[in-house]
Amino acid sequence: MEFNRVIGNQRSFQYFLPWRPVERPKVQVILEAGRLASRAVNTAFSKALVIYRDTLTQAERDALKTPLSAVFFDTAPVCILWYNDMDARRVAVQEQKWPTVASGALVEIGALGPPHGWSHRYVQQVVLPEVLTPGLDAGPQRGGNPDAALAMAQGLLAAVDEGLAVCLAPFDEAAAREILRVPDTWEQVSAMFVGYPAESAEAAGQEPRPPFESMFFEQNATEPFVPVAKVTERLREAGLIQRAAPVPWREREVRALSRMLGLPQE
Amino acid sequence: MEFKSVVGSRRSIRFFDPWREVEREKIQAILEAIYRAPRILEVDFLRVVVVHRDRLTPEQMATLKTPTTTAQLDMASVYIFFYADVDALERATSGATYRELMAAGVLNSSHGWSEEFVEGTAVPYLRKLLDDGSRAPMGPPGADGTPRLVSRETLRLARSAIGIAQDYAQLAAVEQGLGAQLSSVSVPAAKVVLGIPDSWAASSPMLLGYHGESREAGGQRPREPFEEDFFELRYGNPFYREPAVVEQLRAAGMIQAEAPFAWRMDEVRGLARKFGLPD
Amino acid sequence: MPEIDAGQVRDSESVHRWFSSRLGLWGRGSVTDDLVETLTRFCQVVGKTPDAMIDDCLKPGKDREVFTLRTRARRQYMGQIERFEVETGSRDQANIVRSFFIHNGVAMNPSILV
Repeated sequence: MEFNRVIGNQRSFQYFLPWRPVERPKVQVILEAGRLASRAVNTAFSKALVIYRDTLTQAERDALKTPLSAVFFDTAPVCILWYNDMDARRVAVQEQKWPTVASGALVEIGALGPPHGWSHRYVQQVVLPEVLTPGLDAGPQRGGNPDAALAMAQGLLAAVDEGLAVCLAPFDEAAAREILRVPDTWEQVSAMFVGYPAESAEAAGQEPRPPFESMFFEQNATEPFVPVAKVTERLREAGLIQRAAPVPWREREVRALSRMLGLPQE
Repeated sequence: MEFKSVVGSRRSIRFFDPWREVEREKIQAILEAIYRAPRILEVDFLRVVVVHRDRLTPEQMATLKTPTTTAQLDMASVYIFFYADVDALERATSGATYRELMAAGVLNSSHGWSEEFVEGTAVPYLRKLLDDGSRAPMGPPGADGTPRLVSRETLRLARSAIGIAQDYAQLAAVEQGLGAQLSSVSVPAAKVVLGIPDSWAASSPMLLGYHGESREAGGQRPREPFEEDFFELRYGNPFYREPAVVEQLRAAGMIQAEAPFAWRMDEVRGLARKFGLPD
Repeated sequence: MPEIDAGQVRDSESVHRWFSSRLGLWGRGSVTDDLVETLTRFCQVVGKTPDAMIDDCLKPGKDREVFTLRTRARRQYMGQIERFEVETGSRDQANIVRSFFIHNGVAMNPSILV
């Protein structure tokens, strides 16, 4: 699917078809996309665990729920739990098993080099001991969180590209550790619920956001970045900007979906 | 561009053509993509500051630079700074965003949403994260020499918000035919130069410009084995990587030739000469 | 102070390390006579041997395998290289000196030439 349309099609989908499985190759595509995301010092901060609604008992699903994710555990056929591996930096620095900055791989392949001031000696004898090693003994390293979320975002967009519905919501970390044997060194980013949408591809419509000028600034933190209408129009034509929520039929759709899925109706 | 090709074409670009300005339209297109990124817990953490290199004074540039990012900052025409306003979580406890999403038909009674749910469940859930006893500094010390402490949960959510935005930004940059890289600058200097409020937690800015090196930048960076990162059913049970899917993704342009290309080191030396950099 | 000559420069541990690193990254042909000539001139200007300059910038740890960057010394040398560039009128010569420092683990970047 064309990139702008993928961005535009992404919604916080609420209604999944619980009886329609997600093809395994599509799940793999989501993970493959996450794997290719940018990450600091080429270190594997992002980890994910794929679970399936139908392989969990009701008790297990209930344990994993939070108030903001309860229905999704019962209706989405697939859930990908995304994590920040707080041990990733230690593994990169102390074990040097995989190609990271710490292992010298990035100098070796010409990604970092003398034109930017990098050398093998700088990596091994200055960066490693002075930058990457300090604090490793102090406990879990939480700094990889943005990178883990970045990977998750890329996986999320891949799901949209595959024609799937996807939604982010929190899960019970302690339950995941107990039921799914997740290591203590993994810190939650979010659960990503994946499935085929029961609602229309537009869902409620594109969700409201705060004013653009309250989020985007130019040259300093007080001057708003002023968007130009012709760019907005071009992006509308490209499918990045779509019909705003609520779409006209939303209430009727929600009632019908609630009946279909056995969910509470108003 | 096809999405998978955008993902596959993304590189950390470290050489830009400094004489080429990035068109404002392209910058706006990137921001419009970020604007539509999902929000963690529907909290509006994200703040983005676009900086045009040529509108900074030489003195401001000098303060931003670090010993290994001097050249990149000279080369990239635009820097996009990402911040998370940690005070957004406190503001979110008003419940206003949830009410707005209910009115928009996004959050519905089928999922338990109601005014009572907002007041009695969702807002307390946010409050619990905000008030979590485990505190962490949100950045370098302030004017009084002490860093502001926030709950670890607040910081976790704020950083996640930034990471999501950074991914959208990088992919949108590729879609616009631009090169991008998450880099590093002096955080304290950026705070001063850009007038960043104390409540904004910083992260790596994205350098943006037209490619000064080949778009492939020597190849897709190597990764650890797939099975090291992804698991199924339980931790410790690797997700099997089906070769046929890998082949499909190769054909779709998402998986591309891995670094290093045979000619990469020659390219890097040539780029050093192009930009007057040492080798 | 005894004059620093090219032979002394060529025999320095840090110059051997520089050459080895260049050969490892760039391959044959990346170590040429002008490297020693240029570095020797720079050493004569600052009055320090190559090894002494690197020692100024990198403070060894207990086992001498790890180092702390002495940022002030590095900044001073960066300034001296910039002056050398002005005096010689040559970015290439200054970059030879920068290359020496970089391959010895003293990271630095000049501003680019536009």
